Amino acid sequence: MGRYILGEFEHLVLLAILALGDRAYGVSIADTIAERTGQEVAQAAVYLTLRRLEEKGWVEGRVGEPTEDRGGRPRKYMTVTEEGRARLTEARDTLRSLWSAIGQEFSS
Amino acid sequence: MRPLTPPRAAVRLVARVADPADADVLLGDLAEGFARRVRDDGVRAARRWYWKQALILLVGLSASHVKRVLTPGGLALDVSRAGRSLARSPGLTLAGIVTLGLGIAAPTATFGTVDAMFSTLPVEDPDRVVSAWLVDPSDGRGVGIPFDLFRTWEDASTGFSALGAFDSHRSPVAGDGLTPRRLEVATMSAGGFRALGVEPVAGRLIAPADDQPGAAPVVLLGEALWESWFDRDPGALGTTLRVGEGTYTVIGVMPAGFGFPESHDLWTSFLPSESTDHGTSVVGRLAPGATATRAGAELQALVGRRPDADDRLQRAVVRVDEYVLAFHGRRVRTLMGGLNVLVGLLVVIAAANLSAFFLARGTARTGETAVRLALGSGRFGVVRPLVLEALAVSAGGTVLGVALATFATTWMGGTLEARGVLPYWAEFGLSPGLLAFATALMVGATLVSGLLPALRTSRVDVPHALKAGALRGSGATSGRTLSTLVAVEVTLAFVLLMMSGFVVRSALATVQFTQAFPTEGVLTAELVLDDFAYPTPEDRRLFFQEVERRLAGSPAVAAFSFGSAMPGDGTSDARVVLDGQQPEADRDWPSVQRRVVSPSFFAMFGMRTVEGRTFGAGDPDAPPVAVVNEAYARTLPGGGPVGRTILVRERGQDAVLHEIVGVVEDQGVSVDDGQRVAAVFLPVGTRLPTRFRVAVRGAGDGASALPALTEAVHGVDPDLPLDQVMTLEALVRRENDGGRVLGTMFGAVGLGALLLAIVGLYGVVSFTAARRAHDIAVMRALGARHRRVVAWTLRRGMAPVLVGVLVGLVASWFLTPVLGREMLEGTGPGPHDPVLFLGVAAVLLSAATAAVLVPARRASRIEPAGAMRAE
Repeated sequence: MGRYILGEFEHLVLLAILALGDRAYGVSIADTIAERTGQEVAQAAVYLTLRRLEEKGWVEGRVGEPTEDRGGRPRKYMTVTEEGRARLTEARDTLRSLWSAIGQEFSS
Repeated sequence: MRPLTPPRAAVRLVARVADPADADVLLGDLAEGFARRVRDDGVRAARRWYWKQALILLVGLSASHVKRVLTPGGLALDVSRAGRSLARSPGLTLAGIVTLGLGIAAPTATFGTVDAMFSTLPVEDPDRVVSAWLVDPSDGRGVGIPFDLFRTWEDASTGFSALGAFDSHRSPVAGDGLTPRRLEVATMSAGGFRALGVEPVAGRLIAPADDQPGAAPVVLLGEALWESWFDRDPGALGTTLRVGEGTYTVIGVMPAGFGFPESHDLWTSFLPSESTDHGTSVVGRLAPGATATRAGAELQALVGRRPDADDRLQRAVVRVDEYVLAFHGRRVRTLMGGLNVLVGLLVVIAAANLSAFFLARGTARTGETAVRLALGSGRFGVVRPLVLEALAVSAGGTVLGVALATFATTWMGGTLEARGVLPYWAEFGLSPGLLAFATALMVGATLVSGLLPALRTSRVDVPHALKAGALRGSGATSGRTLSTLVAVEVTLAFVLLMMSGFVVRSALATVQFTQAFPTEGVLTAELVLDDFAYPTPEDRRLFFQEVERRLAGSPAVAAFSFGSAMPGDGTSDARVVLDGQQPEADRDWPSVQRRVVSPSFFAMFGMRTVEGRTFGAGDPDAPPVAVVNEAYARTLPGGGPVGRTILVRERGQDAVLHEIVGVVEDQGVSVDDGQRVAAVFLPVGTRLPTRFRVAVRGAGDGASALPALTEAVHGVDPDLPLDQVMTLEALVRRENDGGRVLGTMFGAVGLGALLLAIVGLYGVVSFTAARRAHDIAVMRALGARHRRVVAWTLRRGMAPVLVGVLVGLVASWFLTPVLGREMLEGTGPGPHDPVLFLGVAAVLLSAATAAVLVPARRASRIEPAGAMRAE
């Protein structure tokens, strides 16, 4: 299969899920990314990205119990699959090797 | 205070676009986010935030839908599924394809026709080329422009960069060694050529000096004439042609694509005598920056200043409009506009048909959809086969539409071209742009109408659909929608049929019906004895006598006759009354058809003498004699007509006393509204008309009739052209051409509407019947007879049709008076013509009954056991 470089937002979403552990669902993922980047994150964009990642089999979800503060609707907790982890590792390695090729220029 | 809940419309939007599988989760996330924003930023900001999320989702999900339609996964399977599904109901599929085809062909062909008629002149900046004409505001009629008024305009106006006078007349054209012909000859001043900005392919144009009194007459040839007469020999320049009574020197050749003012091939300079006696037409090119209105006002001011202007000229109003638009006039323009409206309606019907078609299919799928959704198929998996079906129908319909459009356009162009009614700038042809547009429109409509029901059915409530036994398809809603669509379609078809029927009927009114008479093997030609060649009646008498003698002596001619008009040919009327009974007012004199004929006319066309005699060689000059037909004899009070005297007043002449010497049968006379028209016949020998037709029936196979006629005429006058040579059948047909072409165009649109309505109705009813197979099976199982099942289906099918017809009737009642006023200017039947109203209702109802009856009978043959098993 052809090399698929992770999109920037996909990258962020995957990392956020890993960081959140078993508490990763739509809202918390958006919050985490917003906190770390200091930028507003559209809930809808998170949903669209999760949907895409799920189709690729890089994340999977588990629908929880309905809660009251959500109008009686359930949360869907996301975890990163083995394949998703592999992609992340790959992406990290690619970035690393590129960074090292650049050398000292950015180190200051 | 606003409620602390997300905006409801946005919630609905999200619910609609989201994947049903995780819509709940998404809505939950959004609700949570909303609640927090209400806390942190206030309700207003939170609502804004919610809307933003909904829109992002809408865009994002639509994009991913599109992307997935294009991915190959499972496509092959879906294609074969769509194919099988279409093949399962071939009637419905065909209905969809026919609908689409008509929807593409109708607008392409009609817009193409209108486009061709109104295409611009093939000159630079054609919209700057205008006509200027005079109208009498009291009666709307045109007023002739005296040539010297044109000169005043040309010299004094500043609104035109060039202004030219032109005129057109049919004249005999002859030259040394050339076969004389009668041609439409244009007379044009130098300014006309300048206004059009045309250049000759050889020689020079008519120059201002050629327009001056005393200048030598000059003529320009069209390229076609240059070729057929001179074989493109440059030596043609400088030779002379006799056009009418003048002799003109050929000075140039115009290019093949030039035919101003209509489809002319010969242009002469103005002769001094022609420049004074009658009105001329004016063409001009607007000066840079000038507008038609301003230029017109300027010309208007110049009219008033003329001291010699008569009353009519004094009150005349100047009109200036683009040449092509002015050429066609208001009536043609409104008619063409009307045609476009009708076609627009047709397209709406086609679109309604298509949505009915796909709604029916989608509804039929509810069960299948529910099963597939329950089995975990994504919404997309459910929608794709439906989209593929829409695509397949689009493809079939496009092929049919392109074929139909090509055929219709070629036929229209060919018909008009063959009759020589196309002006030279009209370019008939299938416009690829137009075709692409119509196709895109219809395929777009197909996809939308295919996709919308698909989306709708794909959000089936799975448990409910499965429970409700919806495997058969269910949904009172879609049943109602279908009925409404049928009713709308029938209404539109009714209005459309009314409008086209209206035009067809008024076109028919112009078609002349003729009591049967023998036309086989008769060849006719028109001869014109122009004043300059035959100045006195004696000259014409000699001509007649000599041609008559030669024809009588020719072994190739079995019969011949002369007449001012042939049977079935349009003829003029005369005012005729019995002597001593003339009404006081001239206009109260009764109008009667008048033909001036030679003695052999009656025998040649099978009009036997009923009483008295017909014309003979020994008829006295005074008082002149007349023969009448039976229809006229019937109008005379008291006793036989022979021996009585009548006063015949022809246009522009004093009434002349005639003695009736005989009565002939009605063969060959016009029939108007089922009534044979009264006619009087006057003898050629005493009238000596300047323009008449000669009819010849050849001996044997008739092939030698034309050479014999040509020889007889040219033996007497080698310069006299035989004009409009054609068989009598062709002559009669040509007489009715205008009405026929118009009638065919509108009739075709009406037929298309009827066809579409029937196809749609048939499709919907057979679909509904098939869907009700279960109910019918139960009815049959419970012992219902065939007839009851048929009646049941018929009733359900016809209910929306009746509604449609009623609404259509009411709508047409109010629409046709408008139509009559705008399009036909009162030439058609009355606006509430009962024949038309009842006829259209009858046609629609019987066609609808037939369309419903076929599936109804099929439904009545449903076997209970089979239908139940099929589930």
